[in-house]
Amino acid sequence: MTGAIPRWMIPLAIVSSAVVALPLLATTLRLDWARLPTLLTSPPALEALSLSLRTAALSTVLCILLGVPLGYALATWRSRLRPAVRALVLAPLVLPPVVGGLALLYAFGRRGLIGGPLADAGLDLAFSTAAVVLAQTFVAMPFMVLTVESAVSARSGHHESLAATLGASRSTTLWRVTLPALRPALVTGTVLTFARALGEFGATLTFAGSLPGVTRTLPLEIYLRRETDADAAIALAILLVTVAVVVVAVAYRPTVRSDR
Amino acid sequence: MLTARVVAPARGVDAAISVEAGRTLALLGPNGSGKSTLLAAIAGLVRPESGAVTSGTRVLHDLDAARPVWLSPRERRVGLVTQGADLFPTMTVLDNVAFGPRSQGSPRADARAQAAHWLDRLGLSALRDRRPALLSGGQHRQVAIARALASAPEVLALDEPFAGIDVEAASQLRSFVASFATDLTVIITTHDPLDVHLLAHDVAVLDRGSVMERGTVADVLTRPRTAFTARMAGMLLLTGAVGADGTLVTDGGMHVPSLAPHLPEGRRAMAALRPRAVSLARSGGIADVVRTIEPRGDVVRVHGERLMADLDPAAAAGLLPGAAIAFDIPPVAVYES
Repeated sequence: MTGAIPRWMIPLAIVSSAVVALPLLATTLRLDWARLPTLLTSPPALEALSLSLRTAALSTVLCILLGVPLGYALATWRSRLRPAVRALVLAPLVLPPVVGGLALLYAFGRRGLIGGPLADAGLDLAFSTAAVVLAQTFVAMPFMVLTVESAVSARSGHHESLAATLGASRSTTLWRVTLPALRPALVTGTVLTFARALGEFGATLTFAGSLPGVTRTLPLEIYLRRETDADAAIALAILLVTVAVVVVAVAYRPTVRSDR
Repeated sequence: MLTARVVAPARGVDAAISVEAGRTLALLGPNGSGKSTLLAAIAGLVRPESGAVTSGTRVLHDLDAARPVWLSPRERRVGLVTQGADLFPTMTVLDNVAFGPRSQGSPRADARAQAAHWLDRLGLSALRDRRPALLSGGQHRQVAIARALASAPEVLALDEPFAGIDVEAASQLRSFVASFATDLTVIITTHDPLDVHLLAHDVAVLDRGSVMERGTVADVLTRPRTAFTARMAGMLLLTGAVGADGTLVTDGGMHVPSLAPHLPEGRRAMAALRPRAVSLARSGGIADVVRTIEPRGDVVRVHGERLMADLDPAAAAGLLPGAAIAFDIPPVAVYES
């Protein structure tokens, strides 16, 4: 949509951006520029940043592999159960992350539903880097599912039908017709997923703990540093925000038209 | 030969059609008469309640059998082109046309070569690297047809191929379709009798989901047997009995002169009248009263209570609804009903 917005909406839009921008600005003002290089290059900071980037990237990949089929299935599934399944799958959106972490513990912890047998088999998930990835995937998945579901629902199925008359199997149609048309939505979903995974804190702390180099991601490092060295925490926070803003700015375009 | 009986009560369709191999069948009917449903059922995109479709010796579906048969669209070899935006927007024209061969197992280079061949044969090579968004409506439709042809269908189904594009593009597309339709089994849906005359051998006239009449174009469109078909063909159907000199005496009491050969007196008969052939009588003629006057391009159609005529605007000048007039009818072919 293009065109003028009603005039009364403009002040509200300004307030809205201020609500988001002011706290970030306030944080930046507290930044100790002189110490910034040393703060950002300290070994614990680099370690946490590297762990964050690796785990967020991995959970994004998992969300793509698992979330796309789920979103696709939700959009095409004709069943009265669909609203219930959708609500369940999207629960991590509203669940406090700490609760999510507890839920993950009950499922995948050492004495958990699945974690118990896994631990007996010698595969211990809790308090490992894998647990960080699992926690991030848990909280970020709904973003991919929602984006894909709404994009698939918006399609008429016309091109898929025609692809079939041309002799294409369902898989061929998916890979060559549907997914290319969904590209803008997939990019959006990926960016949102990555950003959510990168900022994940509560579920990670509860389920994966805070072991330096293993499960202590950047948000956890920021939280711990705040007690001992507030300047360092702020520097790391700015770093986290910068990474997120850059990723969103580079990759995220609102989907207007997809056929050019 | 393709035969189809499609019964889909939910869509108000219960129709049977057939088309000989290598011939072109036109499905003529207004919007909502079930033409598109018929094509979609033949292509396997809509599953009717009952009925069967066979192409040559292959059963595409048979829902009346004890063990129903249903081939998926990809196994049917029925190419479909609709009046919508058919091309895949993410692919170039060449890749769109190569999609069929590629999906049917040709290696990528092979499929592209076949696509290039089809584009070349249909005079569309200049468009090969374009994206569909940069094509005009007529070009889009042409490429969609080329894509359907490249998938080597046994039957090509064209759903209102000339709708929604401008007059010039439509006329170009007509000769385009005529150029390849000669050696292919084609079904075209249209609401325009012109398309039927120009492109089809046979015609089936559809009204509210049922076939009203079917046969060769010459038979059905020049000797319609229902008022509906006559209207679709742009004519007025008169029914009555043969009087003296072969004259058709209509049930409304009009005397319509007949071309030779004359039918025996007393036989039930009908005649189809072209409004263009009817003129205003200077004296005598068939008395009528003007109901409405409708401008139609370079003529004016005068609808009377009994007849209608396409007149020169000059001849129609001064006519108002309610005016008493008289029409002259030239001798017409009178045929048995």
